[in-house]
Amino acid sequence: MKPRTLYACLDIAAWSAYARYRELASYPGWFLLDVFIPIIIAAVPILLGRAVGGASTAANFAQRAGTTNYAAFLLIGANTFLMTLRSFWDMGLWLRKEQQTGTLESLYTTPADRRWILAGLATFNLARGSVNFVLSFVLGCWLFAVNPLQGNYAVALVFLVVGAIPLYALSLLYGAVVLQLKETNALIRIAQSLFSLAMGIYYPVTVLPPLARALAMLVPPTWVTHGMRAALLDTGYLLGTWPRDVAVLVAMGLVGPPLALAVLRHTEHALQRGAGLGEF
Amino acid sequence: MVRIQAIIISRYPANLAAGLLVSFGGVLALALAAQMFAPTGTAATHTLTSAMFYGYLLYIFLSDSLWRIGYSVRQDQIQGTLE
Repeated sequence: MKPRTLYACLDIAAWSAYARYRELASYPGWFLLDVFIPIIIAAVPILLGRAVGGASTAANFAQRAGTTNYAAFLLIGANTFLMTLRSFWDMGLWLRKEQQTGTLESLYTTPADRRWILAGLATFNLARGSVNFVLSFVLGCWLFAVNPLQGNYAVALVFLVVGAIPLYALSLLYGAVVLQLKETNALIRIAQSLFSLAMGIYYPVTVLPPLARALAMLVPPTWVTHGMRAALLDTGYLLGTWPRDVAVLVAMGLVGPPLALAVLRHTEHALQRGAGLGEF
Repeated sequence: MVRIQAIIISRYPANLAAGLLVSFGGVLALALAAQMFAPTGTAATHTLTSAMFYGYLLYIFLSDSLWRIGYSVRQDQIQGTLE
């Protein structure tokens, strides 16, 4: 019998998050790496930009991005990029690992509702990602001599929280593809490349050609990155004001999760019919 | 040997697609980043992007040549087919 009460469902999510925490707590090095990777991602274009722009680096950047604070601009992009990748890794890799170790099939026979197991994973991932984001951003600002305490932090937080829902829906879709194709590493590399171009880690999406820009607008991380930059650096929102941009993310958050769960369920059923769920 | 490598590569199409995308996606993202800092309305931007692409292609060619030979020798060693 499946647990029906909200308490029982939240309990499943909490245990799922705790299990993931225990697993990752065994590797503290990963935590440090997660803090430093966005700084390295941002440092490459910062140093490249200084070499290219010379004395007018900030002015050249401001002409295209709307802010002279290019270090903070790139740090925000790098951190949201890593949050996106991390959500993909945690969902896709988790499903694949369970499949490889043979426990995915067992999980499906337990009374625990899979949606709450995934919700627990996503919550832990979001908490971990947010802590890493703050630490990495503050450390990066200190390294590149930028004041991190500027802009509207409340609005930036709204973008991060609201954007997390469609982001995890997207990562669930990725998980369904991983289950089907069973090639996690290749798929994460493809996702990494596509997102690095689409979500505008190094540039605002408004500089992209019209077709590429339209495609970029379909992915939630683009809106999160652009919204956070606009809130903190006053670079301008995609639809003029922040409530409109947030409304787009809310709409994505309403459509994304049911769609992702339906795709995941369809993939699982297809694999179960062919006895492919427990195989690797 | 060429045929063996071609067969192995063709068995993993997702890996092949990922390799191509990562190579070009990475350099394209950095080229766009560099353009953000270049002065507007000058030919310097295009020269810089072209230089980055050619430099990257050369780097990929050299790096892949070295890695593939070394890696396939090691792979044969691990699989026991080198002897």
